[in-house]
Amino acid sequence: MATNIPSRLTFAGAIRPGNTIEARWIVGHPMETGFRIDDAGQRILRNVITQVRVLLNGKLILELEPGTGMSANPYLTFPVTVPLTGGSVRVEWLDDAGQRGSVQQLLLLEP
Amino acid sequence: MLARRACLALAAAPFLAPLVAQAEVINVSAAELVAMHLKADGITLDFPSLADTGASVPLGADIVAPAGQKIESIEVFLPANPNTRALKLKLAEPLAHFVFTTRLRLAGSQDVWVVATLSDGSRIGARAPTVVTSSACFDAS
Repeated sequence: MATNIPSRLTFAGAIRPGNTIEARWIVGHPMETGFRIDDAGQRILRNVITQVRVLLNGKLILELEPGTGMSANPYLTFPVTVPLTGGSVRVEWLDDAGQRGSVQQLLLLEP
Repeated sequence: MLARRACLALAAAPFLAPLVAQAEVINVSAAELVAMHLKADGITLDFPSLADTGASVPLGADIVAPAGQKIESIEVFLPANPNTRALKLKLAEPLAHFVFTTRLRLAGSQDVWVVATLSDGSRIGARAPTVVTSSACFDAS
């Protein structure tokens, strides 16, 4: 199920071949824990992102299993080693409601 | 017919048991973490000692594996939360050095634990305390 949940991926550091830079990912997800109750006394269903995959040039480099202990609008920074020819980083996620999303960012090599 | 079925179940039991035992335990208590006697060498945690709200508390971790070892996976535990494992990171390509930051949701004042599993299966881990002045996790009570 596609969504319009916003997600952003940026890089910090010099994008040069072999350099390890910091990738910063954030997604605008409520991360409902399932412990809250609404005004009508009904339990709000749990809906957290349960799976995240980080791909560098299509190859899996990092897998995440977030839980209810992650804050709303989950944020993560992680290291990425820039390939010799550059490429792209892609982050894909899946939540309890079956919603999916992804964000991709090019690793444009600095001269 | 029932007897045959029972016999089959008994015969299969030894093979099924290991599958059950391998099921991953996600809720790890503070006592269990302490009992692991994890070494904190190489782990630096950046965690505020005081947080106004538990809704979003930033955590930074810098993990350097011991010489000759690599980091296979990293887990973040919040023992006082209803679900104690807040995050698991699995490195598809194990690294000797891994730095990450994230934001956690804390049910109350507690120690955050960062536990890394190394390539030889051993674990290293460190904890950092924080005091939360209001909770982010609400239950029916």
